[in-house]
Amino acid sequence: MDKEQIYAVVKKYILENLEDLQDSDIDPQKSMKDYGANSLDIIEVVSCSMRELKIKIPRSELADIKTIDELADKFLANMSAEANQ
Amino acid sequence: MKKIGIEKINIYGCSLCMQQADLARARGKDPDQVVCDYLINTRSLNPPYEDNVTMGANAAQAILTDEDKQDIGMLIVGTEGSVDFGKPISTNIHKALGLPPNVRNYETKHACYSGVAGLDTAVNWLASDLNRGKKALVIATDFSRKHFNKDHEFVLGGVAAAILVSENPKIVEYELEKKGFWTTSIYDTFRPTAKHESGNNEVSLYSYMDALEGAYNHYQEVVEQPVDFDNYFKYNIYHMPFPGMAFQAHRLLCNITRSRKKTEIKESFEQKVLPSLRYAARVGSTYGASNFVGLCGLLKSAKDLQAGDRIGFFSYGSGAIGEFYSALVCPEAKAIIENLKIDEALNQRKEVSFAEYEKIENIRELSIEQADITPDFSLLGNWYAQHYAGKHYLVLKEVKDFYRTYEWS
Repeated sequence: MDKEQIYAVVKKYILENLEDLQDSDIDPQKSMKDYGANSLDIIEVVSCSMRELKIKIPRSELADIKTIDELADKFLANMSAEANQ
Repeated sequence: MKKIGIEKINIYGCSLCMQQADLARARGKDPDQVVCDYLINTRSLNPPYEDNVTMGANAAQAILTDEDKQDIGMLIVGTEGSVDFGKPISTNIHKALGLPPNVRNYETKHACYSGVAGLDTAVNWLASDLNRGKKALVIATDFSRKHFNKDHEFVLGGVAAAILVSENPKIVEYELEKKGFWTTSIYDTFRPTAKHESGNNEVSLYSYMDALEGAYNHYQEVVEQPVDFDNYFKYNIYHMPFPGMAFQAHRLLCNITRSRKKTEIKESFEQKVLPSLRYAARVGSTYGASNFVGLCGLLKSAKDLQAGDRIGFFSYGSGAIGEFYSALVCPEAKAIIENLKIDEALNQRKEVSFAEYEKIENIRELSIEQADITPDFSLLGNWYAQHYAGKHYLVLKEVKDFYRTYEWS
């Protein structure tokens, strides 16, 4: 799976969890907070994305991530590490 | 296997409170939004002559008869705000309650898990038969520290819970073999000194969710049968650092079973979780007493409560641990909770203004780690004379050369 596909999964859950947001509104260089997400919404997007992508990262390691793009990178790194094991 | 569970329960939500909306306005926030985000309407506050010892003793004294006291063989007090690093406050409470000398007592610490740590030890002691027919008194008592102008100032408060655990449960009976747990080492929220309460709220929320998922998965392994989340538990009680967190916790477990839309989760939440938020919404952060505060709220508020209903509990302690366990409702539970009149006790609290809140929190903080303290009993329009005098509440009389003296009002 490449980064585009991971980003598509994350974006799907952002759209599902945040109201009044269109696909075209989302800029990966921004934080979900820029779109009105609170901490609990972000946790939900992270949890749903990890479940679909079958990724297991302690959520607590994700607390410092600033943008949607960084989140996708972190997921990609984890999937690559798993694949190499 | 013998039945073990809670025979008696009570919570003590302090004698003062402040409206969350008043705090929000004073801090320049939208009061409606703050109340809606955290689901806290009022937070508890203590006058300077109350502390974690008096709160715990006051929760227990209201429900224990002399006969109950003679039957107690173990006293465990959970807290993350002890008044001494060596002498456990269980000894102060043991003395105040007049318990017999042949009682094992100690304090447990694991942030907000301290109460359930005590509960688990008590339940196992009774299950082992080494209790020789005796009962265990478990108390959880916590109060927040001063955090003026911080984001988490909106999730502070305090409450104590007392439960009598016995082989004659009348509130809930624990399913002794059904518990799952999960541990990691993390600095999410912690208390490195007697005044500080440090940490990162987001790390703590994330760690809570890790612990919930880990403990629930372990619970499912232990139960050794597929757990149909929607039908297996009639109600769910989650640790509430603030009541609003319970929604997110329920959302996670709903989605583990089957991915679903927010509206469907909201419906499930309102039916299975919301009743347990009743008292947390009035005291603020529930710390180590959280699961017991949730249980009292659920038993009081649930409309269709039946004997044998299974409740799923989740307890979380920063640092961190999560435990998921379950219990069954006893036939007498509803009537006992009605007789406790917890709502009435909370209604009797004095509502203080924002200015009074800042004043008494400053006074309280100044008293921490002081060798000599003489609490001012005339504060707040002589609230002591109005609310305490002659009503048999435990209060801190004085601290002299670090020796603390308590007396009943």
